[in-house]
Amino acid sequence: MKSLSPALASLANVFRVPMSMAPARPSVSRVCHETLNRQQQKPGPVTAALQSASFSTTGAMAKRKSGGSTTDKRITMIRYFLHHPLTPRPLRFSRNRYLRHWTIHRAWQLFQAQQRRKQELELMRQYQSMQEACEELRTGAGDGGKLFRVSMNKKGIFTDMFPIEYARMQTETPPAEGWNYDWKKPERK
Amino acid sequence: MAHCERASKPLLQCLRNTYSRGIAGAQLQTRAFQSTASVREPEAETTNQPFHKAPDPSLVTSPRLERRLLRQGTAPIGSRRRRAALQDSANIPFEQLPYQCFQEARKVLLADREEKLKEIETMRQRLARQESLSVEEAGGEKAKKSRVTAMQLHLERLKILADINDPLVKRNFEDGEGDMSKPIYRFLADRKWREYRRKILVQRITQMKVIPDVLPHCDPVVDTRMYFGKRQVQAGEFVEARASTSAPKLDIQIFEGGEKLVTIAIVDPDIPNVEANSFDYKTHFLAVNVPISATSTKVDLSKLLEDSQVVLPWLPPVAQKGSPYHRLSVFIMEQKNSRPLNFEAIKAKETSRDVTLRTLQASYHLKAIGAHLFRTQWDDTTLEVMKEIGFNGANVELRRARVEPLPYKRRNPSSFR
Amino acid sequence: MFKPRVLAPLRALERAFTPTIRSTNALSQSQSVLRTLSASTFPKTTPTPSLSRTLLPFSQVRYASHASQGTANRHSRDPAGKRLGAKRSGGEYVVPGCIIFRQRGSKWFPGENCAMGRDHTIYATQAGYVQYYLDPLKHSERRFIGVVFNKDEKLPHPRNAPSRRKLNMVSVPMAEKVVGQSDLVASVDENGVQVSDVAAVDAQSGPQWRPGYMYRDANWQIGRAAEAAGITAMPYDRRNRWLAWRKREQRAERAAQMKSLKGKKKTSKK
Repeated sequence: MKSLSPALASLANVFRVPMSMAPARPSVSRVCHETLNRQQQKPGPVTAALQSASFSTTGAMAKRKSGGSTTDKRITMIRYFLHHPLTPRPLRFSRNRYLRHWTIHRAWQLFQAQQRRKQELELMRQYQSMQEACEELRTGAGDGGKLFRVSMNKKGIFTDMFPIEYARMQTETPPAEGWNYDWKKPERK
Repeated sequence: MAHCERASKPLLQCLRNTYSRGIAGAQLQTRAFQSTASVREPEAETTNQPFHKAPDPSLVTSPRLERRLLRQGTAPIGSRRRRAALQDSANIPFEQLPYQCFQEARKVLLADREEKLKEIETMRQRLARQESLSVEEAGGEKAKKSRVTAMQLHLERLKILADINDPLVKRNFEDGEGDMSKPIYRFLADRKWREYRRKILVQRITQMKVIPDVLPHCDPVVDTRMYFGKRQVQAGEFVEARASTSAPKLDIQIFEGGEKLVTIAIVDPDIPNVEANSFDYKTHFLAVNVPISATSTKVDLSKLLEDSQVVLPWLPPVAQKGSPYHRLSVFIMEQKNSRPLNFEAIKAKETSRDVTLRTLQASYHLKAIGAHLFRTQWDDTTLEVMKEIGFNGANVELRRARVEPLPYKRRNPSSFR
Repeated sequence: MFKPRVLAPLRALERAFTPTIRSTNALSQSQSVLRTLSASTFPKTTPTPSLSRTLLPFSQVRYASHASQGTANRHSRDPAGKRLGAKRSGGEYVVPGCIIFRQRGSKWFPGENCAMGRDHTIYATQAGYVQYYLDPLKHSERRFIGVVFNKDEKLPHPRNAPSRRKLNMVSVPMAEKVVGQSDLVASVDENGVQVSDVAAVDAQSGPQWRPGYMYRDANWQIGRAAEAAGITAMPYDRRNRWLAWRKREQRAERAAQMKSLKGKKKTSKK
């Protein structure tokens, strides 16, 4: 199979050209094998910088085992796949564009937070108004709280299962036939 | 026309067209978040001198002028293509850039900021009312104090929330131009410090056992950098004896408002004591009543006042030949309620350098808020330094003591086969 | 007299079943087949003892005849003990390097003044008394071995207490630096053997009495003699295969020569 040059392949990837000849990304196992077999000849720029630093980040055992300096195999692998021509390029913005992006992102996050907060407050308000109504019923009805007690009674209420007629699919608009006022609860035999 | 200029021309044309349409609307509604908006540089210097005489490093494109700039010591800013684009751009301020989504986002953020400012105002009034209440009205000393503290914390938080979404604040902070007197920049700096530098510091002082050896506990809340001369010393680095003959400079960045009085102590817990077969403590430097604030961070230990601050002057650290490395730990300790300590009394009392820092901490109610660390060991310059300071163990080196082996114990032969 | 002849094919059937059928289900089926057969054809017959005896023992039992025979080489599968375990018990006095515990894997971890060797052996790094302890603040699961300086100390120490250390050093007067006399000079004194080289100024001043019992130049001057005489070597060119071939031939020739000399020596010895 003829393989394309990396530059060509990356271009094909960018422009989404469907290519049957496109070189498949080499399998992970093969790359692993190659990198593990290959002896690192020179320290990369990163390792060189680390060695010149006053503190070494090399593990003690790694330092002891290897005579020379070797780059971590995992780092090699990560670098390989990051810089592979078939890897989509990273999202790079200029300073201003990044800041604009950040601004929009923050505004969106803020907007969502405000919406959540509003929803929460609305739920709280509803709950509290219901509670207030109950309290009013208990104390202000003038019957010593009898009505309240009766209304709090759970007898004859669906506690475990609901009739299937109630389980209407939630829709954006009200149903065509509206409320069925004639419906009665089926008698339990 | 240079190649780069030709390349950036279509882009510029495009930008200019959008600007002419977009600016008129944008001008009205855009406003910098902060009252102290970034001041636009007046183009006075460019009009005074022709460009080829004094080229601007952010605008220069021709290689000849670039070379001249480089010879003068200033590198051109950005790529040549970028500079060419900037030459012809309208140079619109960032907040007025005509991007629709961006401007809508700014509107949302500005509205939120207005809301936050209102909240701050109400919070201030409530705080003032709370503070003006007498103890009986507030329901006890303790309740009043806790309420006031909670309100102050909330107020600080609101101040940060008001500014945290401002892209210009972010940009200023990233450029290192943040004004540390403002809470938002302090907050950002603190967050950045905690992300990496504080972790490193805490790791060094705990792994090198400074924390249980010198002080029982320390939770660093101030960022400390140390310089010997011009060289910055990372926490735990080895410093040559020659370099540490003069007292270091400290850069102590606190992330809270207001001024603090701190005590600075440099302690070496590794002075070898051959007679006792153990290690001694030695205080290499002790100064009290050092004022620190978020904006004035530089403390030169050699320039502190002899008559009101320095209790024990700088003693250059030296490590005897063969001795294990010495850890010189720097501790920044906050004085209680930021009240000045009585310098004369301390100066009269603390004449010995052998007192441990734990004792000092207990007797003067100090609280460690910052730490740093460097190490010394025997090197080529140590001998000279020892002679200069009159170190009395200069002609002696330490060798490992012979360990007496355990007596040979003969096994019970009857149990052998 | 009629029955056995009829039952003969049934026995053959039974023999065919026995090696294949294992499950009790199949067993009961086969039995029921037999039973129905026998019941329908011969209503008065009782189940024959031979049938039941051969069909019942289907569960496999291995008796002593296989496993209990002694293996010919048991020791290849049962290796010698490795003498692992505690070498010093708690409270015992140890000196640096003294092995406290031998183990496979880290069953115990090195605590204070102890270290772990290449094969997870715990050994002391300070002279003191051994203690076996748990340190829940350090690790919830691990067991540690430590060495304390005083016998009555208790491990683990509190986390915020200063670490207890010993210097274990003696102060001796600093050794004077030996001044070099020659290219490479060795002198023996109370500090041991000191090896140094001659100062550069002396070496440049001319031939001197040097090791080898003669007046001669310094070694570094001899090394630079070719440079001083202006002799230059041909720069190496890896594409010059002609030169490479010549050198290779020379080397091969020399190797052959050496080989022949070696052989001669051997023969002369004999």
